[in-house]
Amino acid sequence: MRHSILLAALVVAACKGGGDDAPQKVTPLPDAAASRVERVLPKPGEVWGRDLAAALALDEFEICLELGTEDCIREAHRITLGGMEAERLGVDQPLENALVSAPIAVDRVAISACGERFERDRDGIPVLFGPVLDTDSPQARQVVSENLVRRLLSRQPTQADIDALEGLHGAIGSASSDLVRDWSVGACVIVATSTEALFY
Amino acid sequence: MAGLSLVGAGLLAPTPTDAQPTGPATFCEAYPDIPACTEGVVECTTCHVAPPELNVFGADVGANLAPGEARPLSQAVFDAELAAALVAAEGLDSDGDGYPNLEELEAGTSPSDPRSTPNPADCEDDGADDWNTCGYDVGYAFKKVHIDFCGRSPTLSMREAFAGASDPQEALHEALATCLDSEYWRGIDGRVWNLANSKIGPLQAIKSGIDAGPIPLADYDDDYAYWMHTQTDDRDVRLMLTGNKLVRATRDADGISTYESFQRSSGEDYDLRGYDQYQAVDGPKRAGLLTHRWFIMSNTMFTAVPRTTAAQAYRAYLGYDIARLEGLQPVDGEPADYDGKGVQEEGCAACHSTLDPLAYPFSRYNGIGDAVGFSDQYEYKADRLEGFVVSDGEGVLDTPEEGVLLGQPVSDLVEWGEAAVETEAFRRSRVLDYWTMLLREPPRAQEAAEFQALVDGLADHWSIEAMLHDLIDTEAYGAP
Repeated sequence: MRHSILLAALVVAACKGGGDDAPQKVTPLPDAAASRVERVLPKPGEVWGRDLAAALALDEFEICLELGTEDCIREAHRITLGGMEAERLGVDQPLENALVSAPIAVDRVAISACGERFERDRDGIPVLFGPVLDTDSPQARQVVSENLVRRLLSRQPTQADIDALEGLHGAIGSASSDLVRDWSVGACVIVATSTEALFY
Repeated sequence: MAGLSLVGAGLLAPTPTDAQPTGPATFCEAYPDIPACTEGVVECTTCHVAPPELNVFGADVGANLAPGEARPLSQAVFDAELAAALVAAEGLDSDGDGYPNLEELEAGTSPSDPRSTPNPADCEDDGADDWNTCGYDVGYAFKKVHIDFCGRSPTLSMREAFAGASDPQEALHEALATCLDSEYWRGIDGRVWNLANSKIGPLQAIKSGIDAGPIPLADYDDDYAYWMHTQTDDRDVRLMLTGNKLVRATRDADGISTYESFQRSSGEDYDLRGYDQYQAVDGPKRAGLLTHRWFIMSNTMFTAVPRTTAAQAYRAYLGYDIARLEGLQPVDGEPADYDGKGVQEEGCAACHSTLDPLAYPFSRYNGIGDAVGFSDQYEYKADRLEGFVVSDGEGVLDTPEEGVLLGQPVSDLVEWGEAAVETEAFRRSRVLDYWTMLLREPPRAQEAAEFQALVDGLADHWSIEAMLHDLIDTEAYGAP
């Protein structure tokens, strides 16, 4: 599961230069530990949202509001993200299968939350992205990458994590007009939407 | 109790020609020493995905069952040929996991699930991750406990502190004890609260009390509060169907939910809360959730013999869904059809010979109304059925208050509840509530022993929270 970050970053990198027909060179992933019981469960959206808010030092209601008013986790995407609403909707337990819109909802929440953290860091006292806001260097990005993994995945980062997130910088470099922001938010979204963050 | 479990869990298919309630018994005659038979539980899923659809093992057995005979098979042919068909499928590997069916049955694993194999010792942890993927991993359980019960992942510092704990198992249970007090778990609209959704069946449009709907008939907040009271703080879970107090749920200024029980007569409750909210059944006739106003209102409604109410109680609190042919225990002479609904027809009697005697004890508790009007709503009335003579005929007056629950005669609904909570079915249903909530599926074949231990253990303490402490120690919960 850990290698999901690497996979996500490689997928982003593979999208670079969509008109280039040359095959992308993808580094093979090392074997991940296989679950014998095969019982990997999705975090309830409420839990994932709370984890995201805590990791980004935001209040839960601050991470995402659809149309600026509807709380993404508790209202707009409540059922999509594995929640229930028995009294009015008759959804008395989480849906057995994820809806096709679930990845979209996850992306929207993560992009909103990571973007909010970046804006606050840029405009105030930084919490997470300070090093790259000071100096956009490989060393600064490594510090940010390490903190993203520690805060969002509650574990120490591996070299593969750091390399994958650093790879994103090169992958989007030519397409971005605000590389510091795009890398920061992109790296944050990659970690926040990794299988390791979404499942347990 | 083994017999009850076989009858309850082993009905294999729904039509008279396909329904083979003798299947589990024949199965255990063929394999008396396998775990499923010695533990007294042969699940439908041994042969079925969900009846009547066969799983891969059931399909192999079916292919060898009286080949050449026209389908559907008669009961007699099925009974005569099943043992031979099982033998014929013994050497096959239906799920393709490398283990023949007989070896799987003898080991207590599933011959239809390739993830379930007799020899987990084959597992080799490759060390590629933090987790021990070959068995119980206390660090993984620690993470799960926080997510499942606290509603948030442990931070890195918490995980590192846990890794340094001198007694990780003790630290795990301390974490659980803390999380069991979290609002995420035990709060109003929290995880345990919502576990009751399918049992209570809330509908805001007809809710009374706080956040009342346009047609306020009853307040299911009372049901949720009562449910929470029985599931938390090591209280006796049997109160679900036996208690005679009421419970109120409140949230204090700090956002902490509490569930306080109190005794109050129907008259006092009427005076305090008014007509659209009060609990109309008085203490001596109360049977926990079974006699709550919302439960009676939403299930009994306008019926003389409240079969829907009994079926919902059987489903929600004993785990038997009669609509799926579960828990059938026919009673001699039933169904008597006192209300003239035609339930003695061949296609109906198979279920109603169990359901109707279950329902009689509910027949003295008023629903929304009867054929005469809407008086005495939701009250216990010994002569309630007089109001149904116009609609259901004179015979309805012969409906007894006495009933039969899982073969045991009961004199009234209070006794119904008292008998129900002493059954293994009640304990299985309680454990299954939480097992399914936490693991998102019923126990797998190889987890049957762990599950059964939880069911048995509940009779030692009758505490849901104590059961959860046992549950997190199972390999089913703690193996990554």
